[in-house]
Amino acid sequence: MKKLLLPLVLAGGTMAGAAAQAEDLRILLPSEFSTMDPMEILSGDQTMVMYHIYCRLYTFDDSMSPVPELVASEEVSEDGLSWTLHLRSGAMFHDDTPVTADAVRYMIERMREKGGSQQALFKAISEIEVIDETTVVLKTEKPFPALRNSLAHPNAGLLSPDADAAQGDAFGVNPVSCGPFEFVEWQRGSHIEVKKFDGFYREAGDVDGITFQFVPDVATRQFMMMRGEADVALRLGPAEAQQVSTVDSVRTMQLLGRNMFYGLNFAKAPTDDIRVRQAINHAVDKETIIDRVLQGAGRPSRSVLEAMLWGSIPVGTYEYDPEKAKALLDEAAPESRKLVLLSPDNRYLLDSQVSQAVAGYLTEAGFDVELKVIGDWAGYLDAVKTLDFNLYMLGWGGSTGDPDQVLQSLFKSPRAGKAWNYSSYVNTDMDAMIDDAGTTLDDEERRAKYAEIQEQLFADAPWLFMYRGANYTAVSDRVSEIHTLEGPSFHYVFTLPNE
Amino acid sequence: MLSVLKKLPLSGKIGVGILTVLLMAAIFGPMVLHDPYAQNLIHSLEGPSAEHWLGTDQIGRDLLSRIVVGARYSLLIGIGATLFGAVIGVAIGVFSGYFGGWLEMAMMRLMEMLMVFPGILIALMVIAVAGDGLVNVIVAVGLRAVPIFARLAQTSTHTIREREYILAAKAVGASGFRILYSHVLPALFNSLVVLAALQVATSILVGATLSFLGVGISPEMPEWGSMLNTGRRYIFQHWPLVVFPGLAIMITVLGINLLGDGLRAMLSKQHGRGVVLK
Repeated sequence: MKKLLLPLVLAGGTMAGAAAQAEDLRILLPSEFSTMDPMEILSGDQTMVMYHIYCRLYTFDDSMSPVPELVASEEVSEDGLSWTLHLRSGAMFHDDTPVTADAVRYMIERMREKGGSQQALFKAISEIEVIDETTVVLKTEKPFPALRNSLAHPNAGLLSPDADAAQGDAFGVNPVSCGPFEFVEWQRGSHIEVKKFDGFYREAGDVDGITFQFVPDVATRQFMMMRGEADVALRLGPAEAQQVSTVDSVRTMQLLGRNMFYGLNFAKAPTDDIRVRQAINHAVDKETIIDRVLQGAGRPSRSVLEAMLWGSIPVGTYEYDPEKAKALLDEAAPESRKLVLLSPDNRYLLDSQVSQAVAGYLTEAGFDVELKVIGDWAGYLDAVKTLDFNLYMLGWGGSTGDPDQVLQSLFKSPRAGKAWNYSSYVNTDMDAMIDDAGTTLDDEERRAKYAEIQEQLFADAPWLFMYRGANYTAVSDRVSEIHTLEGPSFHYVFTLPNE
Repeated sequence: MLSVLKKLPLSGKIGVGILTVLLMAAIFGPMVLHDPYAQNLIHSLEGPSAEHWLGTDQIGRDLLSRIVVGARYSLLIGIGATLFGAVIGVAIGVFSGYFGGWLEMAMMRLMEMLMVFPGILIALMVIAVAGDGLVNVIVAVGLRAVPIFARLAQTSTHTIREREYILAAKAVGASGFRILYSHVLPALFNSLVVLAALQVATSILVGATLSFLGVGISPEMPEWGSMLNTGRRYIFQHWPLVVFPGLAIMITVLGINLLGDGLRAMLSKQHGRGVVLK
């Protein structure tokens, strides 16, 4: 096999070199999306493309800490309620209008009006005051220590107010922002092309253009990489990564990514009973699933706040104990032992395989499992939204790096039955604890509060805790620089500020 | 039945042999083999052994018993879809062929519209509208065969209705339905049997294609097409996962085609001698 492939690789490499400039990259993504409007970021692949087009006031460094991007300097009032941000002068949008303080106000207000999946992001801001062209003051009623994280979030991409007003609903398919790359074209079902934005305020590396190509099939991504037809391929499984790395010009990186879990439905029997939820957690052997199904690509999840989140502590794991699971189930004696398990297919690494294994374990423990695998992601989310399930699979990346946003989205009562509290977890004590921790300024105190929250959530078992998943990214030697954001699980190929 | 078997050419006999073994396995196999759903992750992706004759799959289920149970799904889809297509198609064809007129015109144009689409496309459309599930798959695959049966029935009915014995039946006052039932249908029987046999093979292939694409049948069900789809991921690591389900499809379709060809050869010979199989 290797002998056969070697000439192909050489031929492919030469062809690519002759046909295109060395700095044009082709990046293979597994899934397409419907919009690039920053109000509606739903997937890591979508985030990855948008991260190259949109600019933000802050950006994340390699350890997920926010560092200034378009902000030249900041002043925080002593009570922590007022943030004065001075923008860099000279930053431009792709349509040659300047990035002003007004654009910042516009972005935050648009986010709050139009809503979308990350509505919680700027909920804390009570007042936005534009002082002059480059100065904006953000005021909050309670201290909001995570403001920098929120402003660095991919959803907080600035957009040209003129272009947005002119385009209306079409903005999401023709985004105009101020990032290092500007949008060129989007061929539905095929690719998105971007080119280097010459007006970007700083040096951002030597990549001239990127084609993000959508290749849902993992084997095709693997073979395109091996033939030299692509420079980066995301989300390969362990088997594919091993095959790809037999080619000399390709290296692979393990991307420890999302915190994988099955959300348990509090609003549908029998998972409304804590003992049933505990039984489910004890019934599934996560270690063996990681070892055999994932072939080592992951490690057991130990908290709701896994995945590069500030304040995360390893609370623990529910041990695999089928006897205990059966005993708990007998004690709960639910009227019906039927569980509806929703699983996506080819969205996360080996997702439907893991779901089959989980269904097998749950059947062994005495449940009557109906496994529904839904291949396309939009259809899967529609099925989740009907709330007619007991378990649904989800991976959470924690895209701000701050735990507040994850907890606000996943565990607050007002969001019960909506994105992303599809588990309908309702607990007013928890609501207060989350709000309290989110507004605590002192780091030590804040850490202690998050520890308490994590322990309580672990005990309530709103999830079947699974694993922190890993997948592999293949990178050809034509790529000189590639950064990784482990939380939201994607890469970008431009330089950080101050590098 | 035995006399029919004797008259079959050798290829047909081989076909019958393959199908008999397959049917036996599908009916009795699961009683003696492992539970096709019982997983054992510790023993995943193992090669053939005395315990698991064809080894185990990616979550440690016995491959042989999954393939054997898969025969049930494939045969059910193949035969069910063909019956569905034959019953509806022949009814449409015979009625429009016999009564003619605007009914024939409308029906046959409708059938031609169905024929324009590739079978797999029709099946995908039906599943998209009706949703997943075994019954829906049978209907989806069967719908593809409706125009094929309708065409054959219509053209043959056209020829038969001009025969003298039909005229004679009319002369003694037989009703249209009686003529269709007692005279036209039996005359069609031979060609329908041959067509049906070949359609079973095609239906199995279309059904397996659907589940290979991840449509219609839940991936945990041991259907050959979806087993192939899953095994594809492990093709370099553990070849039995693709090779054995693939062989199963190949041998089954081959067996049915051999039987179909054998029947055709036998029936055309008999027809030459003026014997009508009843």
